[in-house]
Amino acid sequence: MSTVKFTVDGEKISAEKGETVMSACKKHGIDIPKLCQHDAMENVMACRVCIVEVNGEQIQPACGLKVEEDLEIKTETDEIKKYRRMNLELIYRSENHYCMFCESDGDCELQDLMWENGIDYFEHPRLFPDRPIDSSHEHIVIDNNRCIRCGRCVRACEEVVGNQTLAFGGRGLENEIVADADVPLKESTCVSCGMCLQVCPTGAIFNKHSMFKGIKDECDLTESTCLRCSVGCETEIYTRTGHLVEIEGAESEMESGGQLCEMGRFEPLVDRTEKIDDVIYKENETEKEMSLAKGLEKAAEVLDEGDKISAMASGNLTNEVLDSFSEAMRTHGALFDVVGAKRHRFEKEVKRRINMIEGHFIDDITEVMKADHILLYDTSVRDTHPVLASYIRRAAMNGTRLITIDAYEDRFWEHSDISISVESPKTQLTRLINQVVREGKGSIEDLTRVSSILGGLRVHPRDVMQVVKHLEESTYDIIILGSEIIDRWSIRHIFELAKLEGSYLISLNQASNQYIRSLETEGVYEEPDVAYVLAGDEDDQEDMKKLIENADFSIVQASKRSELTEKADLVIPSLTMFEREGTSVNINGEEKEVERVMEPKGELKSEREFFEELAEKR
Amino acid sequence: MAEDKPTVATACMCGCSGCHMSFLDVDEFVKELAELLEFQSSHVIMDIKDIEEVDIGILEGTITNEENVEVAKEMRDNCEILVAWGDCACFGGIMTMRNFEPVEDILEECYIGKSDDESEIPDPEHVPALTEKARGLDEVIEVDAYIPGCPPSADIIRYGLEKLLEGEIPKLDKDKLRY
Ligand code: SF4
Ligand code: SF4
Ligand code: SF4
Ligand code: SF4
Ligand code: FES
Repeated sequence: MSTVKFTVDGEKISAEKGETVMSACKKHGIDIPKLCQHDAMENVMACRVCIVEVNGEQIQPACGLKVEEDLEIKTETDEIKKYRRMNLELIYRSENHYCMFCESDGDCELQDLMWENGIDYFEHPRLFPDRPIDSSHEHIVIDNNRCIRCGRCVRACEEVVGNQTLAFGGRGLENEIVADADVPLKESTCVSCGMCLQVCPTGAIFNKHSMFKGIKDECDLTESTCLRCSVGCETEIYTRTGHLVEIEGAESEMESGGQLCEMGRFEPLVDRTEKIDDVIYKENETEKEMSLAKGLEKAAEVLDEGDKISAMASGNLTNEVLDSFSEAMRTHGALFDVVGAKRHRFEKEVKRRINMIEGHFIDDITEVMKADHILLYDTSVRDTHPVLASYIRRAAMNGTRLITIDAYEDRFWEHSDISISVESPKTQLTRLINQVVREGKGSIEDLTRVSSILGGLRVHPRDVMQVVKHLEESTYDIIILGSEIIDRWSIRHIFELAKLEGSYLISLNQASNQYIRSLETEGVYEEPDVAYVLAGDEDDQEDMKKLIENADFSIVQASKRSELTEKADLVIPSLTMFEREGTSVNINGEEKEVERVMEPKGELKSEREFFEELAEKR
Repeated sequence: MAEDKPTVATACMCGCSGCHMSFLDVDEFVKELAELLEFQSSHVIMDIKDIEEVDIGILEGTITNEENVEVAKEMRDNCEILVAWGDCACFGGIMTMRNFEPVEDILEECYIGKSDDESEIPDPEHVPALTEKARGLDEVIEVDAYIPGCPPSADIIRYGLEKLLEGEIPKLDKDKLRY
């Protein structure tokens, strides 16, 4: 990387060639005012607030200006100040800004700049244009009255989320933010990630659940990790007097652009499920409340009496909780499993059988954006691992060939080059692809041959041949297996294909915490005497439900009421995901900190201590 | 000596008196001020409402009717330095929300649409007619100092007055400017 030297307000600065003046200045602690520029997106030079004087003659936007040797930049000349003021006033007075009752009052980049630049009066009358508000969406409001046309939301939706829902509609002064072909956001292709509202510098896009709950400066900020899926996005959680206000993605995470998804950003804010504060013991159709200590004793007693004991934990817990829970369960002689671990065990077995090396598994999911081909089995990724899905869409938008194989609706249909719908298990199809690959190029050209191999499978032979052809052509292809694939044979054939083709793999399972890969787990008794289920904050898991239905006695430890706790004989409170602290392992195998966002409100303060005590009561 | 003290008059256009209330929040500084300034007339804090010649004229509120126009001009004619207090006076403020509809429609909606049968649109003979648009002061008269805020904080109001007493025109920016 070659460097260049240039001057800013008399100070010599060195920067990387190709860098913009704004970015170079930022690295040296010189903040040039800006509205449309955002580090996660392309520069469009829309606001002209970042203007600087160049070589004593021109005025140019610093966000679009590339550094050059000996450039002379001045950021605060009288002329610059004059034009910056003019631009800001124009931006403000062209729209309908009413700071006194705006949701973003105190949290607004435009307002900050107006104040900073001393705009205490307007040189020209305000315009009062007629602007629409779209509040159709469950979480998001788009209020065009406050929109400054910076285009950050449009670029975020396209470049960061890979979704292209938002665009500028209308003409000239009618220019507005619209969703798709000007439909209500609720009915649009929006995936409800909320990236647009996170980057909007003003009050033009905002979060319905956070509005008027407090400005960021008045909130406490905790940096943590989202534990709703194994992507493990870095979160910034704002609370005020112990209540959740807003959750944002950490924008320092440049690859993700600071994204979160609906599960990570909105669901915790909407969740109104009743919390569990006390131990509930059900006997002869009556519910009895008891202290935590009594509950622990009761649990120990039941465990002691049981012969066949099955313990199952959610995959969304921290390493520490999983460790101490499994430890306690094993001392009580239980078989122990974690939701999502079964899939991992299959995988391990397959790897051993076909002699698959670890090198096939990718340790950085952003690599999908560098692949030239992606073969995606099971498109539920869109809902189970949404930020990974955004990388897949971004890759496809940038020319990566995307092949999707699903039994149901292709949730990437807008982006897939080949979309194959095939009944589960997908094993047969993969086997056929494998066979065609093995038989080599000759058979690729032979349509009837492929048709005959396909037999009764309702897949067009041309599609299969296309898939094979793409795989043959590709130099960097990644195969992604969604978490809904749980049959061994599908996993085996897909892994074999990867081996055959030298493809890389991303293999997903239901657990958010991939610590399950190093935990000792096993299949549990399906009809146990006692089932002990440690639930996370996610919606009920089928496996857990089945287990307690088939148990003679069931203990459910959970933070909130659910079908599980309704059915349990003994309910014990657990911490909520925001009360818990510890570590978690993401899909890349990295250990991440999970910080305590709120102090535990109930009697239970530490799950680890609870389980240690339970282990001692043997 | 009373004659040496700068004289002040304040008045309210179409506003909620919030700026004047905020002014009263300067607490014990009022006492100090009374030593330093001579309040000639004030719509909120004094019985005298007529505007006479003063050094400093302070206006709160938006210009939304013919009376506002008249009073604003009267104040301008009678004062040396004219100060705008609050978002309404500085930029038009919340009152300008009526600018999205024609005046006739608003009157119709308020006095006919949303009232009982006896209600009628006020006669401009008796009640000052609304201007076409709600406007900030400086679209009607010249303004010398702007103290925005909805309302401006007592501290900022005090800062503004102190600057004037020092013979300077207050100019707010950065941490001092809020709206
Ligand atoms: S978007 Fe910003 S500038 Fe506009 S009204 Fe809201 S706070 Fe004020
Ligand atoms: S929420 Fe996400 S997908 Fe929806 S419009 Fe905003 S950025 Fe696009
Ligand atoms: S909605 Fe917000 S981010 Fe989008 S263009 Fe308007 S001001 Fe910019
Ligand atoms: S993608 Fe996964 S980790 Fe990221 S916000 Fe969504 S649920 Fe949380
Ligand atoms: S930040 Fe450079 S033009 Fe907007």
